[in-house]
Amino acid sequence: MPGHGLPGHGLPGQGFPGRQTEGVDTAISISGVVKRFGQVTALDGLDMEVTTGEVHGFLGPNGSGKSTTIRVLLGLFRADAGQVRLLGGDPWREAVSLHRRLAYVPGEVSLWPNLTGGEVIDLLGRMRGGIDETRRGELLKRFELDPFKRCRGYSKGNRQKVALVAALCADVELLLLDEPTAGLDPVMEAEFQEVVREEVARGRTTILLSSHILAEVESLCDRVSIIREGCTVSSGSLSELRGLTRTTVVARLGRPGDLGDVPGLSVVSVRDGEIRAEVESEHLSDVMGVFAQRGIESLVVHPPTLEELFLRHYDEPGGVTHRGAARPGNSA
Amino acid sequence: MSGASSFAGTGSLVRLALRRDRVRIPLWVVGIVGVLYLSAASMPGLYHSQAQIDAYAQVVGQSPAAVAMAGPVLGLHTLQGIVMYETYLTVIAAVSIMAVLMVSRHTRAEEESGRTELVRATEVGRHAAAASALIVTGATCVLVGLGMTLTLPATPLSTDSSAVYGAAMAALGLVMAALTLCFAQLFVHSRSVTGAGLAAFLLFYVVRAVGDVRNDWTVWLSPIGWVQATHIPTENRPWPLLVPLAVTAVLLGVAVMLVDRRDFGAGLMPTWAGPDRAARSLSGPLGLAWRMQRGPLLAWAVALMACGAMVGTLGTSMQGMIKDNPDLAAYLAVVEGGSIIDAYQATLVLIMTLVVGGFAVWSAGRVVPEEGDGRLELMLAGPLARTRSLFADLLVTVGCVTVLLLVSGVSAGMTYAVVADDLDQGIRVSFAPLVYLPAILVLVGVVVLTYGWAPHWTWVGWLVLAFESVIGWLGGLLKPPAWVVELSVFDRAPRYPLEPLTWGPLLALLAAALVLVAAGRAGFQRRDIG
Repeated sequence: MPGHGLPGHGLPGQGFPGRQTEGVDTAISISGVVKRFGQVTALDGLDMEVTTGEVHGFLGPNGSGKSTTIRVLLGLFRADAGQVRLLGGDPWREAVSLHRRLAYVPGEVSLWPNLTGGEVIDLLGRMRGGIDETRRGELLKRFELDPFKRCRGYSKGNRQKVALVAALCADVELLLLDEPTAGLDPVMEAEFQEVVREEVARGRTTILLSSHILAEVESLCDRVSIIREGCTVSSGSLSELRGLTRTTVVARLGRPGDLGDVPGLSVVSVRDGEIRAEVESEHLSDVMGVFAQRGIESLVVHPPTLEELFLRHYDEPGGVTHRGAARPGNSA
Repeated sequence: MSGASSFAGTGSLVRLALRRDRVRIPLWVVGIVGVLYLSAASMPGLYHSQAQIDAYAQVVGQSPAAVAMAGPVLGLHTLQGIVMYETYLTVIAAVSIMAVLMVSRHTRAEEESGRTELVRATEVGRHAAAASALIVTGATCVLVGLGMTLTLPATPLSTDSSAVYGAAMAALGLVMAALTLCFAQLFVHSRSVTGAGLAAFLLFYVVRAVGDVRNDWTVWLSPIGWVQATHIPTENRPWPLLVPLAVTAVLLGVAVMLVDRRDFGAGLMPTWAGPDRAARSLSGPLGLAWRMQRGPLLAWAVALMACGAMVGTLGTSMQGMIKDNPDLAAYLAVVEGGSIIDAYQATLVLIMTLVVGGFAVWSAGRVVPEEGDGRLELMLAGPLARTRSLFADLLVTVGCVTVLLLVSGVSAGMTYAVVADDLDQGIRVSFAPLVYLPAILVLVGVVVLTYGWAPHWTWVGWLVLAFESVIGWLGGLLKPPAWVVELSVFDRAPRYPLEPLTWGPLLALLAAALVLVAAGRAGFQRRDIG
């Protein structure tokens, strides 16, 4: 596999070098952060914790405050209230020294129209104190980026690749990636995931990955934070988030009858006799008992996908859900 | 798709363009017509006796440089002739630039941004974008022409001259618009389209200059020659305007053909690749700012060098003319017993300096789109302090301004030294524009201050420059109250070489500039970026 044990990159045998001079294992810690723009409150008491060395997924719909959070972490925005620590420092006061240890890929990459992609990569790399030539060449090849082209001629995806290559060339402790694959095609997206995995395998890079693409987060991230209207609604490892919640069941029953008052069962939809429901984990065997009595014709049980977790958090701000209408117990 | 259906939706696109340009179009029209009217109407105040007009004619009519610059001189022994001589090329340039910029803005810039794609996916034909751009631009040109026809009879120009003047400018605008429309099909980027349009204008200008000096058929190769062939104010013949109209029709046919031949978003010219590695100098904010500004600096330097050379060559011949014209002397602020050449050169140095002031405000304001588009964010996400980023841009601006002041001064001074065989005066003129450096720094300081606290307010810099231009350029004519003049920063600087060099005001201006920059930096340290 290319990219493993590159010269000058990664020090084999040195699993977790003591670069965290303070000995902290928290790369990012945000608590109660508030950020207002005039009347609009973009972040409203946001909490987030990112452990050193992990890939942390940062999920939220458009306008939920993901990019604002990242800009606060970069010291571009000043938080109105709350605590922010980044790599053991204050991102507003110590921006310059902290930025030496991190790299950033913005969600909407805008480049200098008359510079070529190669020039931009060199410029951004030199500002961080030089680039690894081998790594640069390798990343250009892997992302199929033409460095001779002027930036005004690049598509959105290609501009994003320029920012990605510039960020990944840097030998840093922390990568802040704001929807880095939004403009990439599926092949490039896969390549990106591969590069991130290699970066993780080197074992000393922390990555904060904000994304819409749940499959990407699901395959890359150890833990996720879900944010909505500037507040963290959920945070934890994927298995924690799943374990705490419900299991998804898709079943076809011989005699479905009224499922409205089966404890622990909430029906999402019934379509052509196919029941899609969620079961609270502790009631799983009770529900299976009820199903068995009513004659199971087909049954699929799987842990909730991130999509379902995600949608659940957006559907239930005050307990109101769209599921109620589909409850067969009510409509029958 | 062909025939009428390929123009479907043109009407809605015209309305969209009018909505987008509801401020721009009136500004262009009022700007061009207004400035022309004001300068034409001010002529009788400057030259009231036939002797003064004859003196003017003698200076200008005998100088091949003047002919090369402003075209054939007709009826110079009348006030109308002077009006035409002083305004024609400026208006020709303004209308041409307007047409180029408008067409580029409504064709390639839209297509490049992807907005056209959004529109083209609806019930809009392939030719609708180009057609609407041409209609809107053409209508604006006609509006300018109409405005001139209606207002100019209130100046020394006759009704006939005014009508032909207006018609000529509308026709010229149409040719330039149609030509730019063709360029918009050839080049992929709006910058290249604008560049090609402006380069074409410069070429037309040079061809016309050669033709006018040689006084032969060469002028007919240039659209500027066609509109000058109307021979305002002596003959006022409209028939040469049939040439630009016919050429417009041909160019439109070419544009339609080109649209049919290319894919959406593509051009017919290759785009040039660049280096894959950055030069050694491009390794930080300073190198980046220099890289972004060196192109514009070169263009401005060439233009100001030409401008300075004109000022230098006309220097000697102005002397006799000013001596006999007290109003002109008053305009140039000739002091009793002072040297006329000093007064003339001090005034023109001030005017060149105000032009450099335009560069300064543009250059200092370049940080605003850098931040708005998100490029500054990319830089500041690296280990770069805000102050260093701000000062890198500032340093390049100040450096470029200093170079431009020197270029315009040395060009004017050395040309004068050669023409008049007066090296001492030439050296004095060479350094005269530099005297205004502190005043320009105040202007830059205003931009930095507004940028540091509220980047949406950097236009205030242009407002200050506009005020300075009115005071510097027209102060002698308008005679505003003293306290208004006192507000002018440029007026604080000594009018070298007319007035002696005094350091007090210059140091005060420098201090003011430093205070403004420091205040701006304080704001920039505190506010959110992006």
